[in-house]
Amino acid sequence: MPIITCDIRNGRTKEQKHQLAMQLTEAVVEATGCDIDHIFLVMREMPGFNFVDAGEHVPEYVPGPDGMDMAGHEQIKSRKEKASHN
Amino acid sequence: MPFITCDLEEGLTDTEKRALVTKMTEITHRCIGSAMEHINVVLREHPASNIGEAGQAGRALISNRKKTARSAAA
Repeated sequence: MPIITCDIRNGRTKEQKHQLAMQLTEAVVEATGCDIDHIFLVMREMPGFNFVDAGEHVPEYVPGPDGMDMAGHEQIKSRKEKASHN
Repeated sequence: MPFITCDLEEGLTDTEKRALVTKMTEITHRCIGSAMEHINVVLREHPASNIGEAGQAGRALISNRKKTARSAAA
């Protein structure tokens, strides 16, 4: 029965999405003891603009080294810097 | 920013749920490169009676597994 839903930004490769789906499914199999036949997963992709995190639109995903979300990490870093100044 | 949810039948302990949430967060970070601070994971629990899974209602998979595990341990 477990149903996993992944809302993610556009721009990931098929391999990244395949890994996400397989590993999340496996994690739920291990945690619940349910047979893999009972696990359903759906991934829904959308622009970064659709995600508003801490009142900020999340930047579009641009893959950096080994798929790291450079723009996203940048946003988090500048948010922390602003926070430390207040 | 990635928003990962898992709808499942009631029955997991808090410890099992915390471990699952942590693992799902790590998997998301590793697989699609999101910053940890952007990842949100929510587990939504439901009574078996609410669930129609693959065309069948009320299969109670997790509670059955727990019952068998308890009877095996007893």
